[in-house]
Amino acid sequence: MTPELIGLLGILFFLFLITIKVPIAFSMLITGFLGFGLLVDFKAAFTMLPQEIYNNFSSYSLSVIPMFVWMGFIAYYSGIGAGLYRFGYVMVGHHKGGLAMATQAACAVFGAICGSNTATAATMGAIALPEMRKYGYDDSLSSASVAAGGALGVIIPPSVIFIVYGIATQQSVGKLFLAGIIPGILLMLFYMAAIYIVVLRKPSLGPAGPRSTLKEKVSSLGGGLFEVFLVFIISLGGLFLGWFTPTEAGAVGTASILLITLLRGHLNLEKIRRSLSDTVKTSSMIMLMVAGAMVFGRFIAVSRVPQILAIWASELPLPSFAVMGIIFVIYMFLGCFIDALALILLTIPIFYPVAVTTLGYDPIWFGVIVVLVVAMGVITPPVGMNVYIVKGVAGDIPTEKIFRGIWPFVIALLACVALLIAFPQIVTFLPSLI
Amino acid sequence: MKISCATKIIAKAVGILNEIAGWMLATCMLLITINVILRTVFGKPILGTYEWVGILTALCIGLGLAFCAYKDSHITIDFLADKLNSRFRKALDIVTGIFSSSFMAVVIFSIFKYASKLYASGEVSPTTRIPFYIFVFITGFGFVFLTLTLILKTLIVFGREDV
Repeated sequence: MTPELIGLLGILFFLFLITIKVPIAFSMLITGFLGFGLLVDFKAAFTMLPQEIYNNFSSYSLSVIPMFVWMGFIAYYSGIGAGLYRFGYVMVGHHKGGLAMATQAACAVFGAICGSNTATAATMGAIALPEMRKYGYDDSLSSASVAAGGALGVIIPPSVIFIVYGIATQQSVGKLFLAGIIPGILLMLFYMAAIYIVVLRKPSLGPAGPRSTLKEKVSSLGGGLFEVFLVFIISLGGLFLGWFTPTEAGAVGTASILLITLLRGHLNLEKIRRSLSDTVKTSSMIMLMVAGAMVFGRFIAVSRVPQILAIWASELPLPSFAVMGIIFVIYMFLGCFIDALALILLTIPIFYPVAVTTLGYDPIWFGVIVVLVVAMGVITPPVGMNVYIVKGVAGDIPTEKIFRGIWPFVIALLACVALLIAFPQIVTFLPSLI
Repeated sequence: MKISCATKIIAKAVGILNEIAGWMLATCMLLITINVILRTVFGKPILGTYEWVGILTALCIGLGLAFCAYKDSHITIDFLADKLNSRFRKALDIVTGIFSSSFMAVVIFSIFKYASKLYASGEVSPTTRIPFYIFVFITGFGFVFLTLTLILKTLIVFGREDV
């Protein structure tokens, strides 16, 4: 058997394992270990396995992940999300569909201190859904707007997926964070436009809320917005200016938000313990998956599958943008079934060399587009993670009803991706400044 | 030993490991922040921060793995398995549980062998001269609890009990 054939059979074996419910991280470790053993030798695989695991767990670059995850959980437990929603609510809540639009604004700002789509969706779901229900919003629109808004958490920096992409492809995490700012804001505006069109066609879906007074508008500025702004400036400002490494930015950001929320009385020891517990749980899941991807990546590299794929792509009688189109369609399809982070980790060793090395696309631009495309997977059936999170928070809204309301947001996301593909400068402009 | 008793012991143990892991992370965050302040304000960074951050992160993740498995937080693709009837689903859960725990036993063995090799070679970190093997052993210890949790979960499915 040729190495390429073993590589392809390995990918099929991996797909079989995840289909029978073996955790994705374990499936990558198992396939990587066995494949590497078959192609090199099992003694080498036995040495490579613990080294990859420990080296990834103890990697200074990867230690940024638990830092930003903790920052998000502190924001979650300290109730900052409620203040942010209040801000959006008093600003646009009096328009038709305004509360759903306020949810998008709150998700975007919350995303500036939280790098996880699920944490963003869970936080905003708990706050925004009862409010929208109070004002007679259609369950489908309200729940779908929260699920879709959660995806803003992975586009707007800090983003765990950008960190993992940056480390896997050896790209600057700071540049990736900068590159995510404008697409994140654009996506928020596209989501708002989608809500506007939906309520324009059927106003009963999102009735207007009460108009807020000027005093209420001014007082809402202090509820969470100040903390987010300060932490964003200290943490990511330091990173963008080159003062901190990404890990230091994460630690300083976490220390700042911890200090601010403690001083304002929004956090106690119990909440800190819970935030730590959730952080360790989430980070362990991510880091084991990263270690699994590294082991799997070693196997894929020796199988020469990426090289064969790159040669095949370069010889295709198609323009490069068509090849990229095919890659994005594959991402969209796989994103419907595989978790966003796992999908990035799994496919980067295969598609990154094709897109960047062979076709010559900008690695930062490719990263942003791929993250946006896989973010679609968190809201589309059958495994749209955010939809299930919102379902868990809402309780009595059927999953099908949330999925029914999600399509305007999927169209908005596709429109945003199309714009960024047509005008890549929107993505590359900010990173080019540093 | 009854499964319910084993469940209590494992739950307690992974809870304690998770708590320790959490405070490791908090220590790591404090160390980095203090180092940044000392470096930027006083021009005197803490020597060995880079190494300690790696070690503390490895301990945090290694000790947190079992709790993550206990809470079923390792990501799986459920939508196909969920379509099966309960008997097939149970059989599948048992097969995947045995398969996953068997492979984790291989991982544990390889980690302990790697740690022994580091111990024998006397490999230490370049700045602080800390021996690596201790932390590799502790990480392996985390995998032992991960495997015990996986075995327990499989036994629970086998005995038709709920977690």
